[in-house]
Amino acid sequence: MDKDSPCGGLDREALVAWLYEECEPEEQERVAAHLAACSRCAAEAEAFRSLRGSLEAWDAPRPPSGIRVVSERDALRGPWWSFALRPAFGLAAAAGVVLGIGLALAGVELRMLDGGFVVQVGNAVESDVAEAAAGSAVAPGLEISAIPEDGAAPWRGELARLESELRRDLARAEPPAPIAPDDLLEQVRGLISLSEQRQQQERALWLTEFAQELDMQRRADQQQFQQELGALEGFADYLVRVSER
Amino acid sequence: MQQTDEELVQSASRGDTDAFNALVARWEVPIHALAYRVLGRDEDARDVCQEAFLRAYRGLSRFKGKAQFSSWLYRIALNLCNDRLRRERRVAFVQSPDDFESTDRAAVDPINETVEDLIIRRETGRAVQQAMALLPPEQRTVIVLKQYHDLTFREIAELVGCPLSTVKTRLYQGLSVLRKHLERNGRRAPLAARSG
Repeated sequence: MDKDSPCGGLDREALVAWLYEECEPEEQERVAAHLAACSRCAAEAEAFRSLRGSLEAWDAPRPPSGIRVVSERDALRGPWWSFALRPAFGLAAAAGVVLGIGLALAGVELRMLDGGFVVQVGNAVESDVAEAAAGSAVAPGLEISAIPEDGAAPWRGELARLESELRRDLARAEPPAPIAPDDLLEQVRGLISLSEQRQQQERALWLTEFAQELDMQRRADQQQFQQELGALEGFADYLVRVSER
Repeated sequence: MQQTDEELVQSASRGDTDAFNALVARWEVPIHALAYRVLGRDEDARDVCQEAFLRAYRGLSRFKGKAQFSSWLYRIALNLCNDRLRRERRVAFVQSPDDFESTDRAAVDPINETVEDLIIRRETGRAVQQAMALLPPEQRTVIVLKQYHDLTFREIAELVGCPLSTVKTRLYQGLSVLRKHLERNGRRAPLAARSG
């Protein structure tokens, strides 16, 4: 098999290495010198360079980017409501429902009032509850819990500490860099303009292709019409000749 | 700072799925493009791409890091392409242009191209695709790896498992066939490519 370039003075391996600029400097010089002196090889090299330009026109479509690996734990985790289908949750929910019905039947009422919980059993009236919260005598049928004698709930301190921590964190966090309204407007305008340009380009492309297809169809119809006309004329000539005999 | 492939591979092999997903995001487009150009059909390319990443994920523990992650991934994808080509030798290579949506095309067309350039580019692309279908898979693969993925001759030789000189010969032969076919059909390089 022929392994050389058109003139035989350059091997094809050197030519492709030169074409993709992947040969040693001295090899590159040798090929360049040969191409400068040999018109046949120079023409072939130029044709290959032009071909490389054509090859770039073949685009690949973009993949839909749907591939994603998930851990087994995440894969097993269903939609947000799926926890309701788990057996443990079902049992707990059933127990809650039974307890709720039981408490309702017993007339038990649970309230949060002025820093403490008030559990009301039986038929205590509203004023009794208020009295209980104020630390006065315990009304009959009332059981008061979780209100310390000094009136200060232990979780208040915790809440205050949490609040101060949050305020400190917020103060420490850097405020986002403000965007000048003009810049933002400019960016939005740029995006809109780009989008419009693309749409116009697509429309023009579609129209041109449509016109091309229409033109091709018209020519094909014209050709077919002429062929049929030719056949008809031939047939008419034949009829004239036959009638003249 | 962006993590390197090797760092992501290390994290992924310790069970970090986000690290592997970052690798997928980085290499999905090239691997899909490679499979598309070697096989010629988008749906096949998608299958190969998905299977390649699945195999890579399962084989992370076997990846020793001697080669680059990208080379390893390319090899997996090429093996899958070759399997498919062997299995479906009878099936035509060229995909109908209708399967290639115009929105996909718009995504790759430079915005500053004129409509005329766009049409020339599209028609040339179709002609190139048809000409590529004429090549034997070995030549087509070498051209794809060199022209569209910019791999070195040595990398291609290692990937396809043949001597360096064979790679260059296949490239020369393949380019010669393409050139003749395109010249016969009166194709010229698109303006953007010619000026570049």
